[in-house]
Amino acid sequence: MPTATIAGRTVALHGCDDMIHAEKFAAFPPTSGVPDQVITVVDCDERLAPPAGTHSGNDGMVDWYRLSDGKRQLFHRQGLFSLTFDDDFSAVTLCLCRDFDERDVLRYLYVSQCIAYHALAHGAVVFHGAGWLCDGKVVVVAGDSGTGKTTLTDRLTARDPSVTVLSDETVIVTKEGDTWIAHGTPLCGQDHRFAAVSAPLSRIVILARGENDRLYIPPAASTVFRLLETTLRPIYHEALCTAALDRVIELAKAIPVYGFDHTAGPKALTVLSAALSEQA
Amino acid sequence: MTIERMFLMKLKDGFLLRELAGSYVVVPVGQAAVDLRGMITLNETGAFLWKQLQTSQTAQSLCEAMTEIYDVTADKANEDIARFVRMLTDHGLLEEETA
Repeated sequence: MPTATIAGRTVALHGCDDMIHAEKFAAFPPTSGVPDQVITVVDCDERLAPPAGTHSGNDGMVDWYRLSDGKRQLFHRQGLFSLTFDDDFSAVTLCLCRDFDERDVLRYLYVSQCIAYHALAHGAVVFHGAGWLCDGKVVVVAGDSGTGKTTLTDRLTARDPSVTVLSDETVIVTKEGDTWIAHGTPLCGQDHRFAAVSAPLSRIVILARGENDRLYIPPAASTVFRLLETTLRPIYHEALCTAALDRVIELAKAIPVYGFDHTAGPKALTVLSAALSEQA
Repeated sequence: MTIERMFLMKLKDGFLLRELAGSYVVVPVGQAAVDLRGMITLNETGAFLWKQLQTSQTAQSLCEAMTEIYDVTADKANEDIARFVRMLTDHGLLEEETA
C-alpha cells in the first residue's frame, strides 16, 4: 500500500498500486505508521446508484449529498463515479465504473485533490503553482494552466541547476509559529518534477499572460482574489472554502505577493528575476 | 430604479464578507460559487448595506439604518440603496418576498 508523508500528514492509498501517485510516493517516505488520511479507490463493474442522503447542491453533472452518517458524497448523475469523504477528508472512498473512459484522469485528479483538501482541513493553503527553492527560500509561482509555470520553471532550471523544484504543479504552505513554510509534494505535472523538501516561503508570484513582461503589486482585494483563485479548495465544502479564504488573507498580509504578466518569451524569466531582486 | 418601500429582501446564503485594508470583498462558497464565479468588491457603504441585508430588510429599513449611521440625507441614501439593490438583483444575489 503506497504511503507517504506530505507536508507533515501521512497519506495511505488503497487500491492504487498501479497509480502514478504510487510511484511518486516513494520519494516521500512515511514518518508515521498510522496514516492521517486513507484514500481507497474501488473499481466497479456496474453503474452506481444515487446515495440515500440529502441533496445539497450540484456542479454540472455532479450532485453533492450529505449522507446520514455525516459523510459527504459527490455523485455523477449517470453513476460513473462517486467520491465519499468525511469532513476533513481523512477517510475517502472513490468508486469508479470500469466503463468510464475518463477513469484514469479522474482518479489522478480526485486523489490529488483529496490529498490537498486534507492538508487544507489541517491548516495548510495549497497552491496550484510551482515552488522554486533558491538560496534557502521558496518562491511560489502560481497560476492557472497555460499561464507559464512550466515554461518559466524549465528556463529557470536550465539556467540555474542549483534551483530545487518543490513541485511544478502543487505546493502546500503551512504556518509554523510566525513562519510560513512551503512544502514539496508528489502532486506534480507531466514532467514529474518534485522534491520532498520544506523551506520558508519568501514570495508569491501570480502569473498571467500579457503583452509585456511586467512585475507589479496588485491592490489588496485583487491580491486576495487572485491568490484564492490559485488555491485548491472544494467549492462544495463551505467550511474549507472559508478556511482557505481566511488563510489566504492572513498569508497576503505576511508574504509579499506580486502579479507577473508575461509574454512567455525568452526574456520573461530574466525580467522576473531582475524585478524580484529589485523588490528584495 | 424605485424599490417598493415595504418589499422584503434578503441576501441569498453562501457568501463570505471580509475586510481587506479598508476595502471589502465578498466571496461565494458552496452552490453560490457555482452560480457566481468571481468575487465582489465593496466600499464601506456597500459593506454596511451588505451586512444589513444578511437579514430581511425593506428599502425603508435600509434607509433608516443608513441615515442613522452616516451623515446623509434620506434622498441620497435611497439613491445609493436603489443602485446597490439593482447591482445585487442583476447578479441574482437577492431573495425577495412580499411582506
